[in-house]
Amino acid sequence: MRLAADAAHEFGGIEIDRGRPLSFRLDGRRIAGFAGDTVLSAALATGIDTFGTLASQPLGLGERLAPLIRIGQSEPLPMERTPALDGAAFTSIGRRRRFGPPHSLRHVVGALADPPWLRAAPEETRTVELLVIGGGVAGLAAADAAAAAGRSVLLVERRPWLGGGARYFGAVGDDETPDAVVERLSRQLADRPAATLLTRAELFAISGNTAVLHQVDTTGPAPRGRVIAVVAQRMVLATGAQQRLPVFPGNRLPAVSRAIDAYHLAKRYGVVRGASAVVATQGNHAYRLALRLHDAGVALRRIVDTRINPQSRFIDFAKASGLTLASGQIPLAAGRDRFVFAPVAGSGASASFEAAELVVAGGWQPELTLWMRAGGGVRWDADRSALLAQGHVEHLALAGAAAGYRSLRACVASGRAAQAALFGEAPEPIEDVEAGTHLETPDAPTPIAPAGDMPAFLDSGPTLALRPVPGPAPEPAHGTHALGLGDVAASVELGLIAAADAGAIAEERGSPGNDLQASDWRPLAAPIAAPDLPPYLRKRYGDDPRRLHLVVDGKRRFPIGALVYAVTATRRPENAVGSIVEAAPVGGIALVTKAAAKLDRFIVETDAGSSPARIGRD
Amino acid sequence: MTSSYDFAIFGGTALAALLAGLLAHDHGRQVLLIADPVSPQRLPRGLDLALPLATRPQSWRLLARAAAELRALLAGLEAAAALERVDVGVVADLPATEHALAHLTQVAAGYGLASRRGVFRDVPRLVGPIELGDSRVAVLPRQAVQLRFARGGAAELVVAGEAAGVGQIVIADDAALLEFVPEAQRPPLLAAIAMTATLTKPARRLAAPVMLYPDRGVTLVQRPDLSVLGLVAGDAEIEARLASTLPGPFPLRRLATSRFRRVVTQDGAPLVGRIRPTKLLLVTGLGNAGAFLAPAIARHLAGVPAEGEKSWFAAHDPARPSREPVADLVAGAA
Repeated sequence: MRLAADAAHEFGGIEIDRGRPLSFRLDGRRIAGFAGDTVLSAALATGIDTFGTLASQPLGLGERLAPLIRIGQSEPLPMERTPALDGAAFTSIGRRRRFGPPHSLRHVVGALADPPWLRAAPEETRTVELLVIGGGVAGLAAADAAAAAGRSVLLVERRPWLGGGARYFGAVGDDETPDAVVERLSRQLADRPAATLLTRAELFAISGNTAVLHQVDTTGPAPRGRVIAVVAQRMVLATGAQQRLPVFPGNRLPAVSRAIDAYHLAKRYGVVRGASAVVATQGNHAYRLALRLHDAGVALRRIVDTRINPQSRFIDFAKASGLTLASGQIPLAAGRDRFVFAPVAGSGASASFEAAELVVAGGWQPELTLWMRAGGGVRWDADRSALLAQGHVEHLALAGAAAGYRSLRACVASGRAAQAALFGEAPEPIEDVEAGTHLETPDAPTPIAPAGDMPAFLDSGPTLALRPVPGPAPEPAHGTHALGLGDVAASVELGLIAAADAGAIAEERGSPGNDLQASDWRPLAAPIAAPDLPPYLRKRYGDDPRRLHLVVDGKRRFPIGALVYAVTATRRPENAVGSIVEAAPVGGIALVTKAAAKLDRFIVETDAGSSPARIGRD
Repeated sequence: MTSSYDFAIFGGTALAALLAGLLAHDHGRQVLLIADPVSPQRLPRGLDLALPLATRPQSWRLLARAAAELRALLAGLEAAAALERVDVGVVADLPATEHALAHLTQVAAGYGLASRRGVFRDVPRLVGPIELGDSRVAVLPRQAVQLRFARGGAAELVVAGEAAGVGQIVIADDAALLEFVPEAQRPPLLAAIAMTATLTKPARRLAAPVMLYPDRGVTLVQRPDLSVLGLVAGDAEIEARLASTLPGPFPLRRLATSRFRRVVTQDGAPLVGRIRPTKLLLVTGLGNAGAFLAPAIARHLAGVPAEGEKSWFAAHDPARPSREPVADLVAGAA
């Protein structure tokens, strides 16, 4: 549903123009939206909140799990990056059930179509001095600093808008607000002739100095996809961080949203999943989101914190606003509109709350998938409960949350510092301190509930990796699911993966390489040495083996490799006196010991059985 | 925990675990196993298969006896499920390999391993972790110990900052060998080669669940869900060689890839024995069959070799006088 156009905190949606309504069809259903919507945001606003089912459980539709779509027979496009288009008839791609609830796209999970652009040839190649991947504050700062120095810069952002996740956290103390920082850097960058900006552009391959991206081009009458190769002298990876999904049964039901997704959906498009919500958190910033949702007209049933009696300025604000808080409880299970919480300590009664939406907050995992594809490593950091980057990749630098920085100021500084270091200039010092937070209760690790009857996913991404179900059937070794960084992080915390292995597993699963193409590769045949003594028979039949032509009758041939025995010997391979090493028109050429060469009768052991043999009269 | 051991074994492989268990269980030795736990989600770096690409009857005899012992041991421990039987296809591309394989087929048949059209039937394969659960085996993670070298070059084990009394330090996996044995001190026959392990999405069915392509340096293991683990030796044309062994459908998505190094011997024959001046005892170059040789190696380490084993180990000792290549295996197998 849409919040009011004038909802507080701009939760009416800053991307959409309510004065320009539009309408399109998705899988035959009419969807109403506004100019500025994506197909996904309009569908969610209309109440379509379900991707399909997995193990009979509905699976929520969202930015990290949405099907590809197309108009007619056009090329597939990503639903979350494609603008809503008035009058268009979109269809979603993939195997779908014929019948299902009206709020579901009814897709069969497990038959997800791979984006075809992963294998498409680029339609153009651009050459720049610096490629910046990610349009958050760190990426904007890196691109702005490089362009200010006169370097040609291409900044690539996956979403239709800039700023990344900084706005979710808000301002700290007297610091410049994230809105102001994004606005300032965006404006500066737009004015720099050396800088080019591509939004709705997702980079999917990176190797050496070349990267490949897919962009939804919106300049024509209908959106179209295009693949662009970028050859860059240097690259800054400012890919941000992903909010982890708490692990509890039902955590991917349509009614469950990550806090960061709920924030962007409301702020950008004025969309919430229902008129009421429960917020479950382990940190302070979700209180800020809860306050904003409350101010925007969403009925906040409860804010439930994993921590016991946490302290934070946001918590004080929430109390002052009359919101009901609970502490020391974790989400235990989710249903369609009822959410159960249990005490962290394991004693005491569970509580359940009814609401249309459960907004959940977890810790933050730096987004390092492209870093690993470029050859970078990762390691588990127990203090941060996250996989952090390690190692060095030539001509590539990390910045912002991807590099592990947390404060707005540090992220901006790290963007500038990354580009400076890449071009051999002295980087500025980076101080990663959030002013005023020393009196606040630190964030707790991402909540993990006991296993239940319903599936619990390890994270929110498209890998759909499930928490193993306790019981006699163990998790298959090295399962066929890809594992995202969030999946690996949750696996470490669940004890499924040893912390020491986490980096290696994340690298194995995070950068598996391109698809394999058909190949007719064969080894080049080296010149064959004289057949007298194959290497594997060296000294096998003594220092002075002899070649004999063995025959049994006028027709039979002995296969190469067959063992030759003295007639009296026990037929065990170690007792063999020779073996057939060369084919002959009849019988075969044997290599035998010098002593055996004096015999006149042999047994040749073949697949077809034992055969008597004698020396042929050539 | 005692700080005095008869053996300290470095290795996270099934072979290392079995060696430790057998030395304690069968030979009454105090053993320290130095190994990090390996998560099942990690890609395997090899497979334990009682099918060495070996042509020497002595090696097959050793293997046949040791494998039978291992089978009985696991059955006694109610761990028989750790041993399965699997069909293994072997494909030779080059005439020389074809010849060697033809001979290998005959030798293998002599020890009861039947084959038909390049597919060996019911080859024993170890799956899952092997723990003999003997109280005389202590286990420490790799980070908990250091190896230092005395002035004369002899290696010494350090646990918790203090020298541990160890009768013999055994290096039983490739990672430990590459970490602890300087290149100059490695036997000349040893070489480190690049390896790549790749897990693909489900593919069409292979001719057999395990396929060996010695001339392409590729080993394939197809899992019940038809996904394929490919192990590729060497660092040239990795994708082309791997794809050449797969039936498609192409393009075939890769789910995971890891790169590591493996130690091989240039003549393809195992090396088991002490090296100077470190006095480390190496157990290396055993290929896929290493774990199945564990009972024989444990006897050798304990100084009680069975009949015929003494000469085999003498021939595979890095310090053997002749230093002549043994030329046992078909070269190139991944």
